[in-house]
Amino acid sequence: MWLRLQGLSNPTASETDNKSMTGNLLIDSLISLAAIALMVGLAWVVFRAPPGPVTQDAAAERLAFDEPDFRPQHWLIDREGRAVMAEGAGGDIALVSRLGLDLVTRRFPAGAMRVFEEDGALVVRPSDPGSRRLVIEADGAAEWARKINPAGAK
Amino acid sequence: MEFEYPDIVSYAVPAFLVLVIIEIIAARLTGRGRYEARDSAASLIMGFGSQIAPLLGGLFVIGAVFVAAYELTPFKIPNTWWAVLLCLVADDLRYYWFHRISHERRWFWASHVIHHSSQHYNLTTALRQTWTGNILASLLFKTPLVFMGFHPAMVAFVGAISLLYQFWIHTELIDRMGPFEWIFNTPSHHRVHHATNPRYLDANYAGILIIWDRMFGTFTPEDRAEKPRYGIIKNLGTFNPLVISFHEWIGIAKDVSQAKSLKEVAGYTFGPPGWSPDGSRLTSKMIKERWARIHGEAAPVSSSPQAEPAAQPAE
Repeated sequence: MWLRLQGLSNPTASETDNKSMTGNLLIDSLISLAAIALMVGLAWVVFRAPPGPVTQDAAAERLAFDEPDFRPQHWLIDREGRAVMAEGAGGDIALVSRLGLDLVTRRFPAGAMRVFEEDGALVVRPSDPGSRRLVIEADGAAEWARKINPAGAK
Repeated sequence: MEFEYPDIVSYAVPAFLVLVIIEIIAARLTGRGRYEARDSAASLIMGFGSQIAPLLGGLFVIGAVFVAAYELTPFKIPNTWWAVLLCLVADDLRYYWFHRISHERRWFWASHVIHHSSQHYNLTTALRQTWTGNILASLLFKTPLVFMGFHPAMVAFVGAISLLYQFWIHTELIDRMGPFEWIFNTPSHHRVHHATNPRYLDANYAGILIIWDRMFGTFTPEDRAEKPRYGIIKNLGTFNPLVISFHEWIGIAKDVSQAKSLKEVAGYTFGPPGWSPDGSRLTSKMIKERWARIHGEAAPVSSSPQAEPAAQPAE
């Protein structure tokens, strides 16, 4: 399209060099969005499976891949299975959370993790633009929050 | 005979749809490959956005620069089938280096990370494309082809061929392809490129021809004993397309705002992904070295730095 506007279109090119399916951007966009809906809908129907809880075993396996030099000593497991936290030998903390059918890990040096305690749960504040806020509800969550963030500031 | 340039991408869109539908069903039946609806939605919205974004002005900038370059260059390669073939090969070499730099320099990685940010590897992953990287990439890496004398329409056409070729290789359904793999990029080669296994990092940057990786020492074959794990070193915790699109740019801005010197600004912006002044983050080179240390082996081959903040594989 821009070549034509610049008067430089291939002299032998046919009308099909217009970068569009129908020639109308709005209609093209609607067709594309309908196709996206169809593909996503089919993926949902065919691969529909509720994600299982994050277990200690799954977290340990994932950490062994993502952070092979991390040595977990203590575990904190969310009772809803949303996330698992582990403290390493050097006081560093690893977090394993669920995203759809997959797991996401983050590792923090001792003292670098931003957490606070709220109603007995441990709340993890995003550490980077690709993370999200996480809440871990488990026995001992408040103690973990106080240990990681003694100041208790939100 | 002069060559005509049909808009093959527009023609291919219905084929994309049919092939994705076939892959979803085949993956379910064979167990080779998997889909997650929200991940696919994110990928497809990114693909949709990548087609809309250039219409905001970038397309005209690229067009104007290409036209100016073609007017200025003393070279004019004739508009013939052999010139198209030559342009395709030249563009594929151009793609190799552009793609490699997109992994080795954080500024370019910030756009390319989008394509690698899914933990799934299927045909929708092929469509998970940048909203922010096409203008600079085209200006810096495609304009030289126009200066060489290739007609801008020819350059756009071979770029479309490359894009279409790279669609079908994003699948786990196709295993190995025999002698075809000696010369061409294949699903097996590209699975390695999308993997985060340390031994697979920084490998197989090819677009169409895998010979560039073989020539420049970045080729790594898929090992049946080590299944690729897809995604980036620090996988994203969300399917939000805005986060997918801009997280690395935000990361750069945050790092630069805390930099203590111009050297640090340069390192955070143009250093390898994962670079930090004190080495507290991991580049892909450091990840490979750590892997070698732990496993007591020599660091895996294929050599360029790649890696962390966004942690991390087609245009």
